[in-house]
Amino acid sequence: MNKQLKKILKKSRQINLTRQEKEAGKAVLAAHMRANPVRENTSGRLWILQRLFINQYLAKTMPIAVLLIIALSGGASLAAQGTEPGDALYPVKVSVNEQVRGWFTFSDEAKAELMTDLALSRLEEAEILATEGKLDSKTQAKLEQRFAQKIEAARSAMARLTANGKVDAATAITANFEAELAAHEQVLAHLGQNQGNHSLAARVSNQIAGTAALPSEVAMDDASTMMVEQESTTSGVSPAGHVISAAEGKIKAAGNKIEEVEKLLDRKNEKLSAELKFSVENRLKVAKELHTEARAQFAADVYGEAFTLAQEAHRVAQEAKIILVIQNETKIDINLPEAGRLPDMPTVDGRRVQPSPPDADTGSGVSGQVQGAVNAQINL
Amino acid sequence: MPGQDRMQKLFMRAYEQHSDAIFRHCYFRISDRERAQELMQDTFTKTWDYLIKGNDVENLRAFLYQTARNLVIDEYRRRKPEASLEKLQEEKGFDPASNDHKHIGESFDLEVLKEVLDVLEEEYREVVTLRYIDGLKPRQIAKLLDQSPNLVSVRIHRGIAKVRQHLEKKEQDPNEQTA
Repeated sequence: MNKQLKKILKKSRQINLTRQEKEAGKAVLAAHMRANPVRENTSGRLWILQRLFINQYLAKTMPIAVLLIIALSGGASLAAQGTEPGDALYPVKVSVNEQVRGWFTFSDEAKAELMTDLALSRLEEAEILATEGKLDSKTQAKLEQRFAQKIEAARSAMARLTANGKVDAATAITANFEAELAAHEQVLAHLGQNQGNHSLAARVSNQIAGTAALPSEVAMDDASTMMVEQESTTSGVSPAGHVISAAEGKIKAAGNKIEEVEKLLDRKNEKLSAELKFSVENRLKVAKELHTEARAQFAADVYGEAFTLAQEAHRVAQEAKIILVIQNETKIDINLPEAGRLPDMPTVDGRRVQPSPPDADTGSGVSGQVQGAVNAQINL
Repeated sequence: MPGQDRMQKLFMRAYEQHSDAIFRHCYFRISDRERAQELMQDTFTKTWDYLIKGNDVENLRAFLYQTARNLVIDEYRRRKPEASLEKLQEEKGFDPASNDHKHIGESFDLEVLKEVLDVLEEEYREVVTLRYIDGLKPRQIAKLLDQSPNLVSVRIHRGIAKVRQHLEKKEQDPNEQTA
C-alpha cells in the first residue's frame, strides 16, 4: 500500500464525534434505557454484562498504568467495603481440580498466576524496604517498573486465556490477585501514613484515594457489586452455576490461605514477640470465623454472602501473612489496625475515601526492634 | 432500583468507549455525517433492547459492528429500494453533505478517500472500511460477516488494490471524473 494511502487512512481514523454530539447521544441513550428497563426475571443477565466488561478490561488497548490503578483500586474497594466480589473465582491450588472446570489451558493459566505472584513479590519487597525507610526514589521507580512489567505479562497471559474462551479462569486469577492486593494495600496505606510522602506506600495509597474514576475502573467496581446485588434480589431463581462455583472456589482459597499462615506461624513461633504473635493469631481467629460463616452461608444457598465472607477471610489471612513475612525479612514488627470486619467505608462515586488513621490505643506505627543485620535482598 | 442503575451505567460506558468507532464506520459507509450519527445511535439502542430481552452477547464490540452493519445495509435499501447494491455503486455515490466540512475540517486527502471509497463496490468498501478504518483483523471481519477468512483477505487485497489504482489515476489526471 502506498504512502499516500496510508496517510489518508491514518487521518480517517481520527474522525470522531464532537464532545457535544457525544453528550447529546448519551442523553438520548439514557432516556431510552430508562424507558426500556431490564426485566426482573433475567438471571445471569448482569453476569454477561460483567463478563463483557472484563473482556474489554483485558483488551489490548488498555495501558498498563490504567490497569495498575484499576487493579489497585479494585483492591482498595474490596478492602474498604468488603462487599465486592470479583468474577468467577478460582484459586491457584484448586485450579487442577477437575470438578470445577475441565477446560483449562494449564500453561496460560499458570503463566498468569506466576506473573501475578511475581508482581505481588515486588510489592512485598517495596513494603519491606519502606518499613526500613530504605525506599529511595530510584529503587521505588525500579520496583514500580518491575511491578508494571509483571502486570503486563500477566495481562497478556490472561488475554490469551480469554481469547481461548477461558474467561472464568482469567477473571479468577484477576480476582484472586485483587484479594491479595487488598491486603497489601492495607499495609501500604498504613506504612504511608507513618513515613510521610516519600515511600511507594504513600504514593500508592494517595493514588488510589485521589484517582479520578476511570470509566473501566468504575465499571469494574459496578460490575462486581452488581453480581452480588443481582444474586440477592432475584429470589426463587436458581443462581447461575458460576456464582456457586465462585463462592465455592473462594471458600477453598480462604481455607488454604488460613492453613498456609498457620503453618508459617508454627515455624516462626519462638522468634516472635508477644505482641506480634497476638496480632497474627487474632487475625487468624477472625479469618477462621469468617470462613466458618462463609461455609454456613454456602450451605444455606446464600452464595453472594458466602463469597463476600470468604473473600474477607482470605484478605485478613493474607494480612497476617504479610505481617509474618515482613517480620521475617526485616525483624521489624508492624502493627496494623486490628483486624475484624471493616466498617462500611464512605464512597464518592464508587471510589473509596481515604481511611482515617488507626486509633492511638492500638499502637500504630513501626515498633523497631532490629535484631542483627538486615539484609534486604531484592531480586528484581 | 440499584441493579437497574448499574446496568445502565455499564452500558453507558460501552457507549463512551465505542460510539466514536461505530460512528466512524457508518460515516465511511454512507458519507453523511448526520445520518451516520443517527445510525450509530440506533446501533446502541437496538443493542440495549437485545440485551434486556435476556440474550447473551459473547463480544460486545463485534455485536455492535454487526448491528451497525445491518443498519447500513437497511440504509442503502431505503435510499434506493429497487436498486441492487452493485447498481448503487455505478452512480457517483452519495455526496458528502457540505456542512461536513465545518465539522471535520476536512483536508483534501479525506475528500479523495471518500470519493475513492465511493467508487468501490459495496462488498469491497465494507471490508476495506472494517480493516483500515475500524482496524479489525481479517479473522474478526470474517467472523462478523460469517465468511471464510481467505475470502475476506482476498477481498481486502482486491479492494485496496482498486483504491490504490484509483489514487494513481487521480494523480496522473486530477481533473478526470472518477468512474
